[in-house]
Amino acid sequence: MTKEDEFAHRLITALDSSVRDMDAATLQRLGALRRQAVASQHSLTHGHQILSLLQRHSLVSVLLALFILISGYWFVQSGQPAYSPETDILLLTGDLPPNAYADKTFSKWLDARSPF
Amino acid sequence: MASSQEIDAFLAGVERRAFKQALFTIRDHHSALDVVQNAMLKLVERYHDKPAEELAPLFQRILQNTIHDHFRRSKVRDFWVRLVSPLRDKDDENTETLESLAAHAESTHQPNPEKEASANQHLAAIEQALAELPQRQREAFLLRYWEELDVAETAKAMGCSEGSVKTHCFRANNALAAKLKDRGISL
Amino acid sequence: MARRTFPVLISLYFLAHAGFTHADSAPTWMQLSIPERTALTPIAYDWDQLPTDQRLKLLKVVKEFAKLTPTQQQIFYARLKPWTQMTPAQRDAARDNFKKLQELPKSEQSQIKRLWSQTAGSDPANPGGGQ
Repeated sequence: MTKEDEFAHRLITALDSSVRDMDAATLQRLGALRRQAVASQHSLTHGHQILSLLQRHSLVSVLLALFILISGYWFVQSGQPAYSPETDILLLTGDLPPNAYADKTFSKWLDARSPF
Repeated sequence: MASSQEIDAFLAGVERRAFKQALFTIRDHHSALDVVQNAMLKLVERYHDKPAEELAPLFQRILQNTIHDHFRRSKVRDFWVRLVSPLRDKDDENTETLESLAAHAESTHQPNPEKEASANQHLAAIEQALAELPQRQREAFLLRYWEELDVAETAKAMGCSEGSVKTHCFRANNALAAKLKDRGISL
Repeated sequence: MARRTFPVLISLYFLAHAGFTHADSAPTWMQLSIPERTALTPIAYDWDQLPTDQRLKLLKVVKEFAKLTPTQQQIFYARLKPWTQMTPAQRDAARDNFKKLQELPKSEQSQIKRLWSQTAGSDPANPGGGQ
């Protein structure tokens, strides 16, 4: 181990002590977040149950397929404006980055300022 | 495929360090918790089918990206909030207010100091030094030495080359040593 | 009955999906021309996973890439990947707000831009301070 590594490891030892002594409220909160995340895995691995459900109830499958077909058709027919790349190129090369424009506070302010 | 218990055990081992990592960049207790929550959920969502031994580098990559995203969005939000708040009732005086905000903006580019109490003087200085490092140097340093990822794993987590990882680490080490020396702290 | 109708329904679904939501399909990275790949370099590894309609829009955008100055091209490169990582709703919000900003008085527009460049570290390609 180099001198650099030794220095880094001494520094990390100090950091480890701060983690050991973390306040109870934060530790509790972290535990709760972890349990939430682990619980969400359960619903992911059991999603395939829906598929086998459909296999067994073919009438439901037919209706579902019809619904998907019809709603897909309606969505396309609802007419989306033609895309213009000019705005995007200006956004991607302009003074402010695109994520600045997307901010909700900015949206609200612009709406309030609109003359309409 | 990692079982629930394995994922739980992994997250239990990494959650405190993940929180501290987020705090170094984001500097807000509540937001750092949000970031950890998002990272945990994304890990489970995307990689619950990976074996337990692969989770560490995958989680670190998610964590770093989540920290970056949050930091970027909060800087943007701060900007618009500062711009917009004084203008709410002063429709006729927008120009002046914007100009005074320009002067204000120059003086307010200071992150809030770390509010967490720390009995250990050394620790406070170490945390301060880490927080002052450039983002990429801090990331490389913590991933290599605290999370104990190897160079290749660190490069993947950071989305950069292995050479860059070594450079960032080297500079981080030097900067930290210099800062602590300035404060009269020798480890 | 379930065993035979189910595959038929699934095929119908995919046909309908293909017919209604993918007007054309989008080229893969290997199918792009050299000028297109030059413009899209920052997202070379992500390209094939992007949704079809997003790829089609980006291909229209990159037609303009060659007309940009070198400085503008660098800015474009820095912003391309974060742009693709925004949600479609966020991108639409950005487009809307961009257009609304153009309708404000010029003096306000330039002040906003000046304020932005003064708050150092606002650049999304450089979070958390220096490199």
